[in-house]
Amino acid sequence: MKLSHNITVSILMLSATPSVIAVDAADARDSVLNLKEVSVTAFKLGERLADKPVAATVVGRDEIQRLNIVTMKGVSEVSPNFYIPDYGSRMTSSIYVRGIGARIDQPAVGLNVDNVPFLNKDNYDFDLVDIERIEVLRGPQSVLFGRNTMGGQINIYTLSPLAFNGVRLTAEAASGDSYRASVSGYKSISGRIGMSLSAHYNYTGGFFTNRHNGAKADRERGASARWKTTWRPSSSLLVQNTASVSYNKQDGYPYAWEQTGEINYNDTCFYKRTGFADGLTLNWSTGDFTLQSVTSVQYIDDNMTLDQDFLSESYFNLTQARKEWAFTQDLVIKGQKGRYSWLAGVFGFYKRGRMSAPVTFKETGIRELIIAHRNDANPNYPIVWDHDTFVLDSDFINPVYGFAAYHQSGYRTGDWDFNTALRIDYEHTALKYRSRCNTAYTTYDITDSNAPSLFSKETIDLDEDGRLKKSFTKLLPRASVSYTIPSSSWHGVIYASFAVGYKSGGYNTQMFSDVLQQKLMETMGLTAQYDVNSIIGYKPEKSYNYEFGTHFAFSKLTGSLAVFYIDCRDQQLTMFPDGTTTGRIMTNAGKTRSRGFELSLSCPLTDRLSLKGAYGMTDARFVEFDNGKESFDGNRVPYAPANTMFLGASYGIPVRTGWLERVTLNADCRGVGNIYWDESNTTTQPFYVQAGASVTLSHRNYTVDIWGENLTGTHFNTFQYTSIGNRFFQQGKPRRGGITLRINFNS
Amino acid sequence: MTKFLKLTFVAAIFGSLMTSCFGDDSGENYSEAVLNGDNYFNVITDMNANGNDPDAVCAVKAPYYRLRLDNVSQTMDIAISNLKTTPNATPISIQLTGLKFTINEKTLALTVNEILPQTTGGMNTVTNFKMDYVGKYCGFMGTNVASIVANISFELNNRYRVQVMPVVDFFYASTICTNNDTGKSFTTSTEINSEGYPKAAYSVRINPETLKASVILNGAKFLENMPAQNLLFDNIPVVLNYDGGYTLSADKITPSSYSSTTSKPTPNDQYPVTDFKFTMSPYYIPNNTPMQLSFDCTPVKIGTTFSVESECTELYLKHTTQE
Repeated sequence: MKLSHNITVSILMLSATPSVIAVDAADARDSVLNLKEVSVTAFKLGERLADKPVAATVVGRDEIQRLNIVTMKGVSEVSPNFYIPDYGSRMTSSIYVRGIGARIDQPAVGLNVDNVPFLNKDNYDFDLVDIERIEVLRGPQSVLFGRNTMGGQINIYTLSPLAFNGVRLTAEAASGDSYRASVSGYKSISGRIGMSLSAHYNYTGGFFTNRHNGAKADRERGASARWKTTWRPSSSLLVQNTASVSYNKQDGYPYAWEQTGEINYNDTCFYKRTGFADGLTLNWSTGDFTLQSVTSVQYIDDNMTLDQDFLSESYFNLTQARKEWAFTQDLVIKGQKGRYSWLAGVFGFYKRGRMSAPVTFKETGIRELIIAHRNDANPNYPIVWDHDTFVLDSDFINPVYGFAAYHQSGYRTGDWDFNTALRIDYEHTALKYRSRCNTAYTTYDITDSNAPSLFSKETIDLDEDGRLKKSFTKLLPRASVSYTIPSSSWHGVIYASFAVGYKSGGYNTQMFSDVLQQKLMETMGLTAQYDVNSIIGYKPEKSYNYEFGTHFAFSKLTGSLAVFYIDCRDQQLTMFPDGTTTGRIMTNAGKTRSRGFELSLSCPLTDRLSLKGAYGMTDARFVEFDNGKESFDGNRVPYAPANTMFLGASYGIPVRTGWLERVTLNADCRGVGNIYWDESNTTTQPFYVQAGASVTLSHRNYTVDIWGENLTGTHFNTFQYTSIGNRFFQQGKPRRGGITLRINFNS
Repeated sequence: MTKFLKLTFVAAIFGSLMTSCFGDDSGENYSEAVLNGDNYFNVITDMNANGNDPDAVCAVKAPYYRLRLDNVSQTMDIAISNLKTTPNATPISIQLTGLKFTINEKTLALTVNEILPQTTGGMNTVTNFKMDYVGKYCGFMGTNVASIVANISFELNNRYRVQVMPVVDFFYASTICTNNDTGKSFTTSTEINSEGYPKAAYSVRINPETLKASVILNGAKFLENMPAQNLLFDNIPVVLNYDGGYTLSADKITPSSYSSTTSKPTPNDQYPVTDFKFTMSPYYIPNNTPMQLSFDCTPVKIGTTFSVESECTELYLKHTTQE
């Protein structure tokens, strides 16, 4: 596909109806009216994303319920070229947008929930009650939304207490022994202040069985609560505070070994997390400008314990126990004078985490990965380990802080809009570490097989500590031009934009255990397999994004089309180093490029039947990447799908009885693939499709959804990786269904 | 780089890498350093003796050299004490003054080439004083080490040639390992570690009293996919060469697996070595042969003999502390 890099003129046509991308009109109106004053998207980008030079998908309340979305994973594939694979645990929030993504450490996509920017990707995946609206902005949003948004930005807004007065109940039972229940109360006092309290509980028995103990490997339970307050003390001041707390525990990871196709591991595996977040938004309007302040505090306390080999033998296990605080402050001011509009802001954050990450080597691991390796090199002087297990212990303190200042200027003349923006971003990260190992082994002399003797007893006492630090400073520009189509029948805007995206560098804390392991092997005369200092840290990732797109409305059809090209430098990739290592590393590929397009269409064909579709194609490849052993030039970037597809149809039948007002039949299918699982492109998940359907019985006070997902029973893998020479995969969830009851008591 | 900054840098090199540093007590114009017998020894050649006479060359431990540089005039004073012409001779002391030195633009090596005689105390005369001094940093067995490439030689009383040799030295190498059965070979050459230091392939430690040497191979392997090992070759006889430098040779030797932290090296008879030879040749020997290390190894599990030949250098060619 040949892309044109020339900026072309576009025509924006004023739309007679308030149609917004991929959102039912009613949903959009509700969302905009209730949220426009406080939504950070509306504040920074404007209320109508359809007028803006940005590729965006907005999913409104009705569609959220129709698709049974409770987490941001539910929007995967609904937004084109936006893919969140469902694997691992709640800590695994891998997000891929247009070939850009991350599995560990720094995220490539930002997440705001009620304006609170979640800094830690490990905290992205949680259930939300009463989601009002989800926005997926694709392409770098670094200038306005800051660090680690080079792939895009997800904004989730929950129902405002000024929009609803009463009680909402949800109860759900589904296959996989899954249950969900939530209750939320909304109260508006004097029309100026509203409060809501909500509580949620979820339980999943699981779909996948660990053959070792017969228990489900993906059992999960969680609970959360939210307290939201919206207060309008005057016509010029709006205050919103959202405080939430959540707890989640999962019993394991359903990774199957490729050789047997089974999930079969013997050691403890779980992930549990307690999180707290509070965000305070203040909006103050004067005649000349509007000021918004968003302050947040976040806390996460989690523990991931893994049978790291995922086999029924005792190689090693890993624990990663962390406590992290984060504070953010965003201050934005905007105004307009005639044709000139402007926005300026400052942002600051501080994050501090403490983590303990011991790796315990067990009997099989000691025997196969250390003793066998060593004794193969010197069999006449074999070693015997003095202990059944030993620990590679690592502790970290990781303070990170940053500051940014940004400005955006816009000028409108006739049907043309010109927009430029610049952000200067500074970040400082430090890592204080201590790694230690205390164990021992005995060497025997068996040169005389009739008289073996003890040769030496060796104590390994490794204790290393240090402090690392990095600073990053980046200028992030963006420029766009858009043209409104002045036609009476064809409404739309055509735009072209250029933006620089950026993702911070950091440290591979998981590799410190490998550093220790290498030093342990060196005590036995075996040279380190790779230069450990070269894998401790990774560089920032930068991208240069070119986009050409259009939003349009013609008769009943609305849609958007975007064509993009991304030139990425030092793309961060998650890899498993060669050999007998225990961790994953983030490393940098020299150069990658990604090109593709996205098309979204929505059309209410009749007053009963509406259709919706979204398709994304991404061709993301390495331009320069050589790991010293193999060149991957020309190969596809792994884990990022080449295609995403969503097709949905909805047919509503008015019933108009006392107990039932409407029956809606919904059908959808989602497709994704193909996905390569490694840089060498040797294994792949071909394109696959999952079909879903639901029947919704609606009354003004309640709805009942009977739904099914993956009705085609499609078998596919959501994840695959290789560790210590073994390949593992996680299957996608099987055919499943359930029933969801939602009751609204309006007061 | 200005001359002054170059000198200051060289002084810093002296100060940081000398085994025992007096520091700078004379203001920024002067620098001092000391070479002592823990890390250096003298090789004494009797130029009156026949080159084939085994007593013509001997090693004498524990010399003491104190150097004082005048950065402004670019001259050096050297005080040499505990200098013996044979291990049992009476030690003498010598003072040399006003030796002019130059700094190599690229390597920042400090060079003295003073051919005129200096007589000290009316008794001992030194001629042909040559010094080539440069600090080097290299990676070795997972750590970074700092050392000096020190080539000092002079003639004493027109009879003895004195060379200063380090007790421990590190060598870079370009190595060809050949499978003698198939003729297939692979080459390894000096790599740069993640901290920017070139990795040394060998270290050589010489005991001047016993004239035995230990050679450590850093990351030895005979096949490209073989796990690399650190191997120690111990108690190799040292032959001091009449023209300078030394030769290590052993017909048959069994290495040990080596680590600096274990109580003792573990013999590793899986890699028996034959025809081990290392020729160390200082730069100033006219028409000197390149430094070369060679040996044959027949790994027990493989059963095939591999020939290893390394071209060695003390200084990595691109090793410079400044552009």
